Amino acid sequence: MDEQQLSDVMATVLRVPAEEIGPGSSMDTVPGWDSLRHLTLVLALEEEFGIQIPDEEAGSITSYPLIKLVLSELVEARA
Amino acid sequence: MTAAVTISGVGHHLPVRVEDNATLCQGLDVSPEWIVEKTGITQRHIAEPEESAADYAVEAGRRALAMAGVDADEVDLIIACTFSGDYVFPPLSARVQRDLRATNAHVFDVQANCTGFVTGLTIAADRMKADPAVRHALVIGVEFLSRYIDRRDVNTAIYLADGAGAAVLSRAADPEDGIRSSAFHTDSSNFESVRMRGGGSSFPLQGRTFDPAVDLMEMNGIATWKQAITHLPKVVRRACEKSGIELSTVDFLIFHQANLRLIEYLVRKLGFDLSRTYTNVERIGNTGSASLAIAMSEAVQRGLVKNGDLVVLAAVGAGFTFGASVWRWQLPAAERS
Repeated sequence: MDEQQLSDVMATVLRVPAEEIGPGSSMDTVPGWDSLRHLTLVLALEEEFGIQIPDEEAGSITSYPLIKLVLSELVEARA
Repeated sequence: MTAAVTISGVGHHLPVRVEDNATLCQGLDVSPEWIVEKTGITQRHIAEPEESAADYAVEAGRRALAMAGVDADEVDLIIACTFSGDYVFPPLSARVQRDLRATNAHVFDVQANCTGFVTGLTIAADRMKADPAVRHALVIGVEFLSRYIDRRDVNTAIYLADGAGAAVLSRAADPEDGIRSSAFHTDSSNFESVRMRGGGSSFPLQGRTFDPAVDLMEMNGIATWKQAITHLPKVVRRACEKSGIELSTVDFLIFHQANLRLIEYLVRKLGFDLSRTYTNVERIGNTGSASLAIAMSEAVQRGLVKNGDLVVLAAVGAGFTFGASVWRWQLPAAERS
């Protein structure tokens, strides 16, 4: 999984510079990451990485590490 | 007698008075643009002080019966879905029975919060399938939510509104028509997230003064959206599976009108685009268990749902409860017009 690609998607949706996205990024630390942006982020990640994020995960991937973990598994499974 | 049960008439009734975001924001610390960005809502309908939820239920019911071509005395069941009815009891449906002169109708209310209308339709269809003596059923979703919110509470005031919608259920000749199946789910782990405690037996009104902390609606938006995106798509998929259809063959989806952004997400997550749904939350607001009924009524008025279409109705409500039902649309009035 391309972490730069992940940072770019998150930065675009959350409207912050890509260099500010990293392991410490979460709904608690990124001011613009609210419930609305989260919905947009889930759909953007699906489109960008060509995967389907399970409903059980969609509401739970609220930090960079959690998104990276779930995306890595989904991208690997797709491959 | 056929076991098929279809929606034969729809109707709705909305307050004349409209409150726009600019007016509402005079008492809030957010801007009209912020409300639109977060919710899509630009205005909401608010009933007048002298009006009652039952008045609205009766009017919506009368319109649905007129479209169905069903007389009130042919209705054997009335279900009112509400959590903001006129009284704690008797049921609002009893006043509807009285005012419509539906003297043959058995009545009861359903309290499943915003999942009420899907629940009520399913119960009514089940009753009709189980009992041939039930000729027609009238299911009404009605809310007067403006009576239970603090207009300075951004968590509730930007969303909630008043209105009523109704559907008449009748028997269909083709067993493939009408309701195919419903699916429900409850996740009570966030039971306290959306609530109205005052007036309940744990917070009786007797012996105390009005306390806004318990006597007005409370809504935790974060819990609500997490619950909705986790469970509502699954319930829609399960309703399709139980109906023996592929989700991709669904022609039209109508959701509880909670928040435009949530509906946009759900539609796309289920693999559709927005042309396959109808929304009115932008100009009506969230009318609780009435919202799906009102949206369905407007969608029919606008000719967005055609006979033969596979239609999904889906909602999420406090508790949290989730419901979806699949219908092969067959509205007799559409054939007559």
